[in-house]
Amino acid sequence: MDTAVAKIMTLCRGEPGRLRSILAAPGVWTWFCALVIVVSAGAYGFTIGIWRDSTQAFYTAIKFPLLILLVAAGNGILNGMLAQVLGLGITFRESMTAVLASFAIATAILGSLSPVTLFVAFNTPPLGEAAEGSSHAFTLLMHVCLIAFAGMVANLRLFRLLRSLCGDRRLATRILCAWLAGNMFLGAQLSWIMRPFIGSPGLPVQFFRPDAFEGNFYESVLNSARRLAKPSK
Amino acid sequence: MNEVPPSPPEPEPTPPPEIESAAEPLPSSPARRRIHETYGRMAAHVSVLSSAETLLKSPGQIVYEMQEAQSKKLGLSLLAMSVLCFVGYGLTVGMFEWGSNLWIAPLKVTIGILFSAVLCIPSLVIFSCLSGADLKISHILSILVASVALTGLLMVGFAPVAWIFTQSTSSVAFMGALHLAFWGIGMFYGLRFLYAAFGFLNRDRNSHILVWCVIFVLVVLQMTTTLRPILGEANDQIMVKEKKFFLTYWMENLDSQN
Repeated sequence: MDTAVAKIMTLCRGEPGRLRSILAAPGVWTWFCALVIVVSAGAYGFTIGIWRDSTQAFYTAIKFPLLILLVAAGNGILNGMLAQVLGLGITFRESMTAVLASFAIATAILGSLSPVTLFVAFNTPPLGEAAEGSSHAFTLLMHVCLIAFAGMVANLRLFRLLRSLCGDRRLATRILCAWLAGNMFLGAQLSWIMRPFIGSPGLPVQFFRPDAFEGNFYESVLNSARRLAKPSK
Repeated sequence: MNEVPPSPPEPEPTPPPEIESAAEPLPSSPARRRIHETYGRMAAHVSVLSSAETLLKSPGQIVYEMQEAQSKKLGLSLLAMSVLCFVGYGLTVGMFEWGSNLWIAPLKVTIGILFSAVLCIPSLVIFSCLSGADLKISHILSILVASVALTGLLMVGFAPVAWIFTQSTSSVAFMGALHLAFWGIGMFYGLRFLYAAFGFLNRDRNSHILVWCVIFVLVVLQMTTTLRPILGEANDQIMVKEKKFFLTYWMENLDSQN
């Protein structure tokens, strides 16, 4: 247990030298990062769904780590290729471990905040009260802010690692941007398919929405933009 | 020629002043080495009073003592001091309404602050690592305990002033604002100590600790609403079940006063 905590602390410190040595022998660390994601994102996911319902909390505790692992797995080959094409000579396994390590840092931050978000969820006016709409909006906003913060910190760590690997700031920036673009593109669609995470007040608690595979995230954004431009009479 | 005058006998090296880590000449981590080189041991024997005095006069020594020497003993004495201080301040809060509030308010004030600190421990550990701190969890906890103790100590310093106002006003809103102001001042110095301690021990920028401080303040503020009513009539209710955010609760209180 102590070793696991010490390993998480090492990841969060993000010393480029230490992270480079992790990439040199990725075996155990790849699995460890996956475990951190499952446990931390699971705990945080539980606190995302608990405001709506305890069943929703369990669903989100499963879906949130699954989403992160699927993004890492789905883009694993692409990220490795992009790194090599852009001029960083690392193997597919090393690029996969680097991305997993950054996701593990983000989820460790979120997991460490889960007692606080659980406390907030238990203090948010529940469903069925007059303020349920604003409660839902507040919950959504809080989680978006926290996830954005954790993602930002994790990507800064990943950038430091890439910079120390290639020794060139511009190349490191290019690789990070390429990885981010791919991860965000896939992540947005996967989170669209896996919705609901918080659970809208007017809709039932479900693992997936019945229309999960109808349409996609980008079509939905486009349709919303169209509706804004041409409001129906 | 060969008779080299015998060099004067070298004075016997005096042992370092009771540093327990003498078996371990210099601490292994750079952060601990830095603190080892900058600060000395606390002069007095560790007790609640001596640690309170050192915490106010020379907080750096507390950090040294916690990191290098009697971490557990000092930590426990600071924790005991925090509990005493919050119970003392809670008594002043309870004197606004007397009756059962005399034991409910000290209990709520003490539990509220300590439970908020417990909720924020995991994030403090992670955020201190993000700031590059090379510390053990027990050392991070000891800094948090010292910070909470300093907050409590300053709040108890305000207790006589708060008591005077408690006896001369019946406005819940005014007393609430006054207690919040005193708590804010105590918290400011407590968190300033924590920020400075991590700033000294960390290698990276301390911005993550600042974010943690904001989170901690928000948790404590929400705790005042979760544990309501702390001040004013309890109406035979120790806790109110209705869930509210602290800003909503404050606004409602202000409106009811007007």
